[in-house]
Amino acid sequence: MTGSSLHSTAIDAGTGRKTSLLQLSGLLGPALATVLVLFGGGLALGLLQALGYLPATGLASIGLQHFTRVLQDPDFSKSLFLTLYIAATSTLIAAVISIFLALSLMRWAADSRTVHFILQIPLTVPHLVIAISVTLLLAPAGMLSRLLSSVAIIQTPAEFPLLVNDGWGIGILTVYIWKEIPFITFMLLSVLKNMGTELLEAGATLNASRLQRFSHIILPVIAPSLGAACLIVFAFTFGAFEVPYLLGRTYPLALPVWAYKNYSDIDLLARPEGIAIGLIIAAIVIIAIFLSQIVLHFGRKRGLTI
Amino acid sequence: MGQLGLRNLTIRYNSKPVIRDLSLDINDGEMVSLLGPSGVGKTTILKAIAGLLQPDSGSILLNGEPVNHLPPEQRDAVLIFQKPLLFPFLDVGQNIGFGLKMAKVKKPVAAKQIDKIMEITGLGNFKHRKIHQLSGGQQQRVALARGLVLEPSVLLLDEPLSSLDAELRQQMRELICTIQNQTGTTMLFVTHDQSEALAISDRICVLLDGRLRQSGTPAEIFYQPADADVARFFGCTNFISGTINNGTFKSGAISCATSLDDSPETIAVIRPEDIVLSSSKRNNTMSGKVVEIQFEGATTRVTIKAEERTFTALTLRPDFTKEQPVWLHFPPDRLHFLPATAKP
Amino acid sequence: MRVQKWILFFSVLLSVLLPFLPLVLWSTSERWFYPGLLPQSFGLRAWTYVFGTAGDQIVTGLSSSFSLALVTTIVSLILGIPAGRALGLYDFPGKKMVSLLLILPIIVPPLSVSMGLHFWFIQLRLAETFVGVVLIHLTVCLPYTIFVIWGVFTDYNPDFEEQAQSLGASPAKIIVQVMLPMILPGITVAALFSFLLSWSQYLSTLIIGGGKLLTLPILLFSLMDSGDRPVAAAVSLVFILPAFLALMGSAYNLGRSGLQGVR
Repeated sequence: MTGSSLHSTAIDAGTGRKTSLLQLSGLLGPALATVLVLFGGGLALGLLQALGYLPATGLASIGLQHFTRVLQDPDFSKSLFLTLYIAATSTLIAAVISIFLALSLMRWAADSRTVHFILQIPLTVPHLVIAISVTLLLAPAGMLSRLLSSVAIIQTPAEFPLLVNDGWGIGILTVYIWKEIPFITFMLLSVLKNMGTELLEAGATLNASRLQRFSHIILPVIAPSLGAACLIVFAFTFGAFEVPYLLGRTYPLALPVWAYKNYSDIDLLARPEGIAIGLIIAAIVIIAIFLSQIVLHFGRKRGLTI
Repeated sequence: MGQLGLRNLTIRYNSKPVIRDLSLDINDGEMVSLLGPSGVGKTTILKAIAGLLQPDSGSILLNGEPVNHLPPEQRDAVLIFQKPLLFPFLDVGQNIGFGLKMAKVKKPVAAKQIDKIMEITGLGNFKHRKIHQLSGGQQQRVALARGLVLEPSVLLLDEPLSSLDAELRQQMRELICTIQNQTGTTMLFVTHDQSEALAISDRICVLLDGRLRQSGTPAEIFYQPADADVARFFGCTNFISGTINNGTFKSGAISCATSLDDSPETIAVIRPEDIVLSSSKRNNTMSGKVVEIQFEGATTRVTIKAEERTFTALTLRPDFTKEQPVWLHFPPDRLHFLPATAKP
Repeated sequence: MRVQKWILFFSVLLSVLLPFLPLVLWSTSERWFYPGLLPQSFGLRAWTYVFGTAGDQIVTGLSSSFSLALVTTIVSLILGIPAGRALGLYDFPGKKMVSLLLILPIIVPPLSVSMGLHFWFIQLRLAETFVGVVLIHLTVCLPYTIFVIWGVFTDYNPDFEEQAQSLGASPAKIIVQVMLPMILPGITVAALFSFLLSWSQYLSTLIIGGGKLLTLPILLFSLMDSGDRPVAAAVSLVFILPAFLALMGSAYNLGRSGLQGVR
């Protein structure tokens, strides 16, 4: 930013072109207002309800009782742990595979057109459809089980390991990893394409080995995008409902599933608790972002290159 | 120690040979420039030496040892690119120390070497600067320091000054010469700029159409071009064809003693600034008419038609007019005869 | 190197296409008992059900999903293009705050917002209406759209507009004849982006729409619960078809840049 911040003009980021703040708010205003009202309003009204405000009772009984009840529920930590496990594991695995995939595609850039196209397919397929497909593939009587049975490794579906609605969330992880790899890969590819090969050639002539070029040049260059992509994926997998609902166990429930179960309970008193869980999910995601920003900031300050 | 040898190097690009059968030797401590027009494959040669691309045939020797099989990181030759290519996520000091870090040099040792090279390259106060805070010239200096700090056998420079403005380029030229004198690093410097090559090199190798045409000291290349193309490349377009008989070159009214063997067809060249324009006939003169005048400041470029040929003369006098008749005088000691095989 | 390349190519191809295999097989199976690796008999029962018996329901689902996605996308673009332009071209005080405000709806799950808004929408009589669901989809789609168009405008050179102006173009002409053609590829990506996001929304539609707005994902969920696998597989394929067509179209129009960044 330039020193213009005190004046009532905004400066063109690239060319120093000026525009009035009035014009600027004309451009930005409608969109920002929409987001602010819908998103901010949604969270604020959710908070009011989670604090116990119901039109019938008025503001009289406002308090943290719904939050404390959720947080003190012994199931909460189990749900939280499960949800963290799913989000962190799927993000990590998808990130690692994406790095290698992006690098390989980069190396064969000249004829990776087809792969590019194929990789775009998962981007267009909703999570829900893949969850259904994974059920048909990995369920005890799914296609994988049938395949094993046809080569006589197992005889009955009962012998097939539980991969759907299982304790380790294998089915859930499979869906997320399949969906998120292309997303992360394309984020990385655009950075790698911008970087080009010159920087790596410079590294090579400065005697950096292939591994050193990866850790000292490629990783620092892709780190911001990788971090951003991972955050988005983490946040999404932490707060998504469909996949753990279809492929998860009935106990413990992933936080979003638990939240919705409470919210849609016939007992209307459970509703504020559902909203409270929803807000806790939002808070955890936001805290995760801030923490990662702080870690990144300190990392930069101390001269860490990764 | 820093010797570089290229033996019959051929490099193809899309199966078209870019470099053909190039052989070259650079001695320890020498500053050699590889001069040629843009797009002639100079960068390709440097990349091959650095190991960033494989030559199709021929061998590359560093200190007498063939290095064709070595990957770039194991070659004791560092390439400085046309663009600075500094790592944006590292500061100046970290950029300069990059190669040392790769070589796992101990931190205190590396720090000393970094400080020393920063002193030499005049970057003393910039150690903790961010890359984007530097000007183009400073960035290029960091790139230079980053290569020099590794004390490579050969430093390969790929037109490192071409993106700088004239004044800065001059300063950097001087800096490179000073560093070369101080460190004695063997350098191979690629450029398309004749005056740059003439100013900084111990030896110039002229590369035209993928072939090494001539190699020699700046003065040799400038005054005694090996063929017409080299002569033209250095801005000399004055060719006089004649014969040599009994030690005398003759072409019309021009005659000049030479030690060369007799030949029915010989070509003499003369630099534009060596042609003397006068208003009266002397010996070794040709009469002509001014065709075009270009005032260039210190000198004036006069194009003259004489005896069906076109000559270009550089003169200090700006007072010519078109169609003006002039006499061109060719001082015999300024005429250079191209070897018999080289035709214009 | 060549071998590695083919291994990579085929493993990508296989892992991407594998999930579609059970969908295709199940949707065309008549009888498929364990442990048959392939259906014992093929048939079009599921498809005749989808387009015959339940045809009305499916067509309703398709049309409500489609119209929701379309309206959401158009509104997102109308609001998002000016905002993206402002963010891409200008530096101004509070820009960081604005970008934070826009990142949050992308990061925070729509679940949290929908539950909060639901009560309010009931009061405003927006719950269980088309407009209400468009609004909740906008919460998700608009920030994404703005980010895509922000990116487009950081590479945009407004000098072209001034050139057009000096050649006598009116402001409206400049927008239609200079700006829009130049950012068209970016707009296409943003539109696809927004469309796909809205298209695949489930929970937010369910909460705000209250089951009244029968979109394809909601239909699909109830089918999964009913356990009719062939029909669920067939509807799944119907569900991915438009997105897949969009991908083919975009691959043709956008070349390499394609859909990267779409979730």
